[in-house]
Amino acid sequence: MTAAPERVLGQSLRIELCRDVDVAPLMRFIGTQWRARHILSHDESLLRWQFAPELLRGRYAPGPTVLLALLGGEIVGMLGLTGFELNMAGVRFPAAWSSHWFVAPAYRRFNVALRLILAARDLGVAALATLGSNEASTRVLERLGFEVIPSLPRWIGVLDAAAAAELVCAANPKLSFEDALLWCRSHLVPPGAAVVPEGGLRPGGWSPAAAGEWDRFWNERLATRLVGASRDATYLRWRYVEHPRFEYDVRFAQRDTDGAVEGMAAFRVEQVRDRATRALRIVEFLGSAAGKATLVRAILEAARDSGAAMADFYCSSARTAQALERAGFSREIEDSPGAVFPSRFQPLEPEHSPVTALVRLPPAWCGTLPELVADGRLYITKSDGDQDRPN
Amino acid sequence: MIADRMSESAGLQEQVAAVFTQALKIDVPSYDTDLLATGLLDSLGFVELMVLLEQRFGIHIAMEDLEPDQFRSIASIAAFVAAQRRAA
Repeated sequence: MTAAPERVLGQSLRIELCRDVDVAPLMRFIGTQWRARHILSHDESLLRWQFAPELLRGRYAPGPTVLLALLGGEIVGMLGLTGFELNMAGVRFPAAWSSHWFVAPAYRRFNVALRLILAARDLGVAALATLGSNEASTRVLERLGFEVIPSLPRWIGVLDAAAAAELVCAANPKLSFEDALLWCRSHLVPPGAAVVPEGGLRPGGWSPAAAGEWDRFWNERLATRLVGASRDATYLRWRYVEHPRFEYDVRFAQRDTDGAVEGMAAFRVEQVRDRATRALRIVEFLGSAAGKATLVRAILEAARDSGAAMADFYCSSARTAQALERAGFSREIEDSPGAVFPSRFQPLEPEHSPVTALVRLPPAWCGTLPELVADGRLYITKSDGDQDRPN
Repeated sequence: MIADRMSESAGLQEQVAAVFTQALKIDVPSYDTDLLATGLLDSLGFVELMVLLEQRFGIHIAMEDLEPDQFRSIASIAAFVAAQRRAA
């Protein structure tokens, strides 16, 4: 017989949505309990942007959409929820990406994490998803009915083999520069690979008129056949145009004659910390065949103009990435006998970090994730959730 | 009828307690010990328990129906299992 354990938590643990007055204590909690200098401990504009209450549809939130676990008024845990509209082949559902699922070490034995995710369930969203889940979180969420994509596929194109080889060498210390160079050359996107597309399309930047045309294209041509965040102009404006820290380039493929839009891409140039090297991170790539061909050319021009050594694109839909493959990009093979292309640059990290996706679809769609991935309808990129973020 | 129910309840409590000691390797002092407030069952342990209960008792626990209070003690877990079995 063991001694009765000390009762530490009881009914006094409350889970509540963050209010404006909780923001400062929340940032202190992140900085003291999670990690000193964590960006959300000192960048309030980023926190408020990521968890903007108006993104959570159908539910009033009195402040940033972060669930707080409160014990006697003190924050002991948190779960961030970034609201979005989930488009399921033309039908929209309120949904949320969860992130920053964290409990103070002293309270980890007390089911606080579970209570936070169950509180998210009770917010009235039809779907919950998360990107970049660790092993323990994945186990919990899978058991709670989330379907898993163990590693979001990644496409890679090398633009400057010598510069990319330096990155690969740094990420694979046992690899010689010569071998890294050979490896990078095998992933080289040759200049001129993207052919000039037919169809009178040209790449254009963000403008209210182009955004309106994009909405028409999205609603008429894409929404009915895709599953994922509803990527209408309102979403694009919030996610890319108004991002408080990153400078994204949003490009539309537009017809010369009438300005109609047939595709959209978003990307940003990332400087590798403490190195002269840059990488181009593609985070959106959607459109008709002609639209995508136009956008591939624009992306490659932007990559070369910026001096990027390599470009990458994480996306659940292999069908979507076919136009990149035609230009010379190749899908990363995780257990490759060659080398690993680094994926984290702030700072450059040696190992490859798989981006695990977990999705809990609306009830009528439960169990369909493998099929949605297989036929390319599921469109999740690294910019969903919080994986394309400043550190 | 009531005697049958009481007998079933006692039997289930013993079986649930066995899940804790044998499978989860957790010694629970009594059937009424608060598993959540005392930190005996963390979130990972909780979902492992769910899997074990489904396997041992042939029930299904959906996230939609999940309430931590139902798992607060061995006694409440046994009551939950019994209710799930009756509803099946």
